[in-house]
Amino acid sequence: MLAQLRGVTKRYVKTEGVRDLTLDIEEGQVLGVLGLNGSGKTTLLKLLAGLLFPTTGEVAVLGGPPRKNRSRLVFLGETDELYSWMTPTAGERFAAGLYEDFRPERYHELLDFLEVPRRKTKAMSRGERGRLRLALALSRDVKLYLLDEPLAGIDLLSRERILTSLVREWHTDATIVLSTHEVAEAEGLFERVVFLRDGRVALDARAEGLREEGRSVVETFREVLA
Amino acid sequence: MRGFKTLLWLEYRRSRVWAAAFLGSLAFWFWGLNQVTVRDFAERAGIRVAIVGVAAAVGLVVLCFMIGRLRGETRHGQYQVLLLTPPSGYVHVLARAVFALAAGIVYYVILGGLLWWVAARAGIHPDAGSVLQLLLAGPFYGIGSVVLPFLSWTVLLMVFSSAFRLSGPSWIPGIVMVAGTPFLFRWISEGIVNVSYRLPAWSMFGGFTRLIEAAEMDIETEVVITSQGALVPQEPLWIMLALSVVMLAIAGRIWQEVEG
Amino acid sequence: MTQAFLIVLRLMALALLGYFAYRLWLGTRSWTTRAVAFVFTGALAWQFIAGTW
Repeated sequence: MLAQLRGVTKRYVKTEGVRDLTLDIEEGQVLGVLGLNGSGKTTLLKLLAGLLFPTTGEVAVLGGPPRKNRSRLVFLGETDELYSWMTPTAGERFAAGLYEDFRPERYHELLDFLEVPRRKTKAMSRGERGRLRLALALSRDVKLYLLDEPLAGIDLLSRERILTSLVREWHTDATIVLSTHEVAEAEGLFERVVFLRDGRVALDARAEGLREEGRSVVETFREVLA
Repeated sequence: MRGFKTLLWLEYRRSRVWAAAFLGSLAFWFWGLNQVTVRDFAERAGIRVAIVGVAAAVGLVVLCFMIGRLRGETRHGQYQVLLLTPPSGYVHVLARAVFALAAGIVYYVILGGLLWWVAARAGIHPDAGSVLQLLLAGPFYGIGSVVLPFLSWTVLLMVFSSAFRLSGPSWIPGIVMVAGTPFLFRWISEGIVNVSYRLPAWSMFGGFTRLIEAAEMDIETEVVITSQGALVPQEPLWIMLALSVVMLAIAGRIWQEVEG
Repeated sequence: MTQAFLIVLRLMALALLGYFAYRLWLGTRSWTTRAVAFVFTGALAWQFIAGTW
């Protein structure tokens, strides 16, 4: 078991991000975390990354507390950012100097494939910044990738490029946990989907199972969360 | 310590504009010194020394602001990225402190040089030993006992306040720490005064006191007399250095333990 | 009269400090952060209670 959450509740000052959440994540899965705004997707991913600590319950990732294993996972947050003066080359210097698992050849390939301009991020559009951050994230060779809304606020063409690179870059022994609103676009990517509503798991199903029942992920999304 | 070099590089890239402006401001202070055109050379020297004193204080404030921009990174999301990098919080804090300290050392050594220039203009020509005291001993004493503690306190303040970012207004920890510090500092300084002068004191600026006496007697003298100068206690330096290390270590530990 | 006023002022300051201390305690899971908060609120509380102003 790559990661486990057991009875996890995360309480903020007045609200709860997730409530009594229990989830097992196996190796090599592509897991989609779907839900409306405020359903707990970001909280779940941040708990797995070790950016947040549970109020009650336990989180174990790669055999221990996630923060201790932070060098063995990748977290791409929705709101985290690079420095405005950073160019792709500076980003490479940053990542290569801090992460042993960073692969520069893969990074250059991804930069070309995602058509990231060689400029400072302050001179990039939001889509270009998102693509650069994704290139940095996917250039690391780890067992667990946590991607929080990697498609949010990004133009259609960039989204297509990102999804294609995700499909290309996925290795059979790596696990990807991805949260998104763009359910329809990401549908083909997921092996398993977890629907969150109000911080709880509303449905946890294999995509194949859904297809056998003749339902698409999008339809299930509407059914479960409408 | 893997990653320290990269974090130091990061701090340099992040702060080089600030550091350049900070060091460049010395040109402004030098220009200011040149603007003092009072006839009486002793008064002129006195005003200029005061200006250098102001430059020292302003420099400290600027350095603290430079290292304190850590807070801005929590709002713009870089802090969260850094929290998940492999190096420990101690290494992150150390990299920032080392960069600010390096900039500070250059600044205060040059200020020492400016004092030398002021003295030369007043007809006071210190010997090599006194020059070394101006350029090295004095600045390093000041850096160790004043600048580094302030920098460490600023880092601790920023990291401590950021620890509460997710749980409500972070002005509460800011206010508590800023309000509580003067009282804690008063008790610490009372303690320092009590233990001072137990270790052998250092004689500093010996040549200058004799020379200033000579200058006050209106004798333009090129002869340098070295003798016992002000006796400066060692204890404050070591105690403040130790406190700085403790504050930086606590800041590093908090970094390890906080949520993003 | 002024004595009573000062005492009331100190009590109000202590109450506010108590509220701050409560928020600080609950606002973090980090024990080091709590210890730092304790040191500074303790210094302020001591000043309010035993200080000479």
